Amino acid sequence: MSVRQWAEFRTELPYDAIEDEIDFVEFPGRSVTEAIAAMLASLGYDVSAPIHAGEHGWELDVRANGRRFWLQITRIEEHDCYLTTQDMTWRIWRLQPSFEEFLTQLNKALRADGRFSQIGWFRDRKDETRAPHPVEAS
Amino acid sequence: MAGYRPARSGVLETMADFYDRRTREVAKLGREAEAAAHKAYGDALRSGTDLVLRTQEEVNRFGAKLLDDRKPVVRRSPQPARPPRTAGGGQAPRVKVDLNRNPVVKAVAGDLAEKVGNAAGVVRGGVLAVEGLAEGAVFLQRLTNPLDVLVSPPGQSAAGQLLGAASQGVDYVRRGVADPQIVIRDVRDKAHQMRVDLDPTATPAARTVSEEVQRRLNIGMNQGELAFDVGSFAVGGPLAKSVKGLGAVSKASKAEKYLAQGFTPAEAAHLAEPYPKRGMGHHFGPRRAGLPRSYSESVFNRLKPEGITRGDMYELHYKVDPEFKGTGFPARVGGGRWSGADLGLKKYGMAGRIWHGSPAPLKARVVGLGGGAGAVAHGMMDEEESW
Repeated sequence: MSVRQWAEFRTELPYDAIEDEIDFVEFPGRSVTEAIAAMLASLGYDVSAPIHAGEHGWELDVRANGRRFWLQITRIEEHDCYLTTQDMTWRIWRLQPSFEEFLTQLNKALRADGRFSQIGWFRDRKDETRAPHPVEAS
Repeated sequence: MAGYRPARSGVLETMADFYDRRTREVAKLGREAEAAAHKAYGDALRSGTDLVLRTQEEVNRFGAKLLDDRKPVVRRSPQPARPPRTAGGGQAPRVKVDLNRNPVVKAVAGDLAEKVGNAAGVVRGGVLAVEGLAEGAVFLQRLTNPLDVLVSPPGQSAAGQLLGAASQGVDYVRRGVADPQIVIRDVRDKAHQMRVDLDPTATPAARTVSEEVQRRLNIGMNQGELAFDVGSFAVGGPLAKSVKGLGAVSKASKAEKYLAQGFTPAEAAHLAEPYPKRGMGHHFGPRRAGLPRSYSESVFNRLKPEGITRGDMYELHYKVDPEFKGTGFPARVGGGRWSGADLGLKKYGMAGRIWHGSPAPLKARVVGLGGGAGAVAHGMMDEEESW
C-alpha cells in the first residue's frame, strides 16, 4: 500500500485569524483544527489541544495504543487549507491502529462533515495527482 | 614615434607606461580626495562648523573640490601662434589633440578608475561593516544599561530609538496599505538611484578625462562596496547583513523584489518589513520531535536570522523546511496567500537543509554533532526533496 499523507481541502468555517496593526497575533486555522480534533476524539483518539505554530498554522498531537500521529493545518487563504500528517511512532513491530488506518478514518470523517469539501490527497511534495483517498494499493 | 606620448615631464612614454601612470594617478586622486574630505570633516567637528556629507560620493566630490582649490594657479602668457610649415621645409599642418577631451583616453582612464574604485569600495564596505559592529556594540551596551533612559535626551535613548525604528516600520506598512503608490514610488526612486550609483551607462560620460575619472571612480567604489555587502552576505549570512543595520539593502529595494514576484504593493511592503521578533522561525530539529524546550527554542535550534525580512524568511523557511508550504497575508494587506510553489521556489535536498537550515550558532559551535542530529531527525521523517 502507498500512503498519501498531504492533503488540500476547502472549509466553510469562519476565517479566524487574530491580527494587530502589524501582523498576525494568531494565524488562522484554529477553528478548523478544533473541528478536526473533535472528529478524532470521537473516533477514540487522545488528541492534544490545538498548538499554534506561527506561519505553519496549527498542530495536533494524536495518540492511540502507543501510536503517535502529528497533524499540521495551514489555512493559507480564506477557504483553502493544507493538511500535513506524519507517523511519529518509533516502533520495532507493527502496532494498531496503523498510519494507513488512521488516515482512512480521518479522510472519512472529513468527507462526512459538510464544513469541509474538495478534499484531495497527495503522495509527496512533487505529486500533482490529487486522489480522493489517502491510501491506495501500490 | 607612433605609440609614444609625452609624459608630463616631457619624456616619451609607451601606452603601457601611460596606462600605469593613469592608474597610479587615479588611485592617488581617490585617496587624496577622501583624506582631504575626512580632514575637513574632522576640522568641522572640532570647530563646531556644520558640514553634512551623507554619502561617499559627497565625500569624494567635496574632497576633490578641496584638492582643486589647493592647486596653485599658474598664469601663462599667451603663446604666439606659430605659422604652419610648408612641404618645402616649412612647418607641417598639425591637428591639435586635446587629451583631456579625447573619447578614447576618457574611456580608458574611466575604466581604470572604475577598477581602482572597485578595490577601494570593497575596502570601504569592510570599514563600514566594522563601524557598524562597533556602533552595534555601543548600542547594545546602552540598551542593557538601565540608566541610559535617564541620561539620554527624550527619544534618544537606545530603547527609544528601537521603539522609533519599530514604529517607522509600522508606519511604512500602514502608508503602503493606504497609498500603494508610495511603495511603487519608493521602489522606482531607489531603483533609479541604484542604477545611477552602479551603472556607468546610466549617466552620460563627463566632458573631460579628469571629470570622467572622478565619475567612474565613484561608480567603481559603489560597485566595490556592493560587492563587499553581497560577499559578506554570502560568507557571513544574514548576520553580516544585520550588523550593517540594513543600510545597503533598503526597504525599498526589498519591496522591489517582492513587487517583481507579483505581489501587490501592500503585500510587498508587508514582506519587506523585518521578520517579527515573535515569529516562530524555522526549527532545525522539528518541534514535533519532542526535543527539550530549552534546546528546541534556543538559538542553537531556531533559525531566525537577525534583520531578515518577512519575505526572505518565508523563502528561507520554504526551502529548508519540508513541512512549510506557505502562509497567508493579514486581512489588512488584502489577505491572499504566500506560497513557495507559486513563486517557483525549490526545496533544498538533505545537504542544503542541514547547511541552510541550521542556525549560525549551531554551525559555529557544534556543526558536526548538531548537523548530524538534525539530518537524522529530518531524514527519518521526510524522504522527499521538494514539493
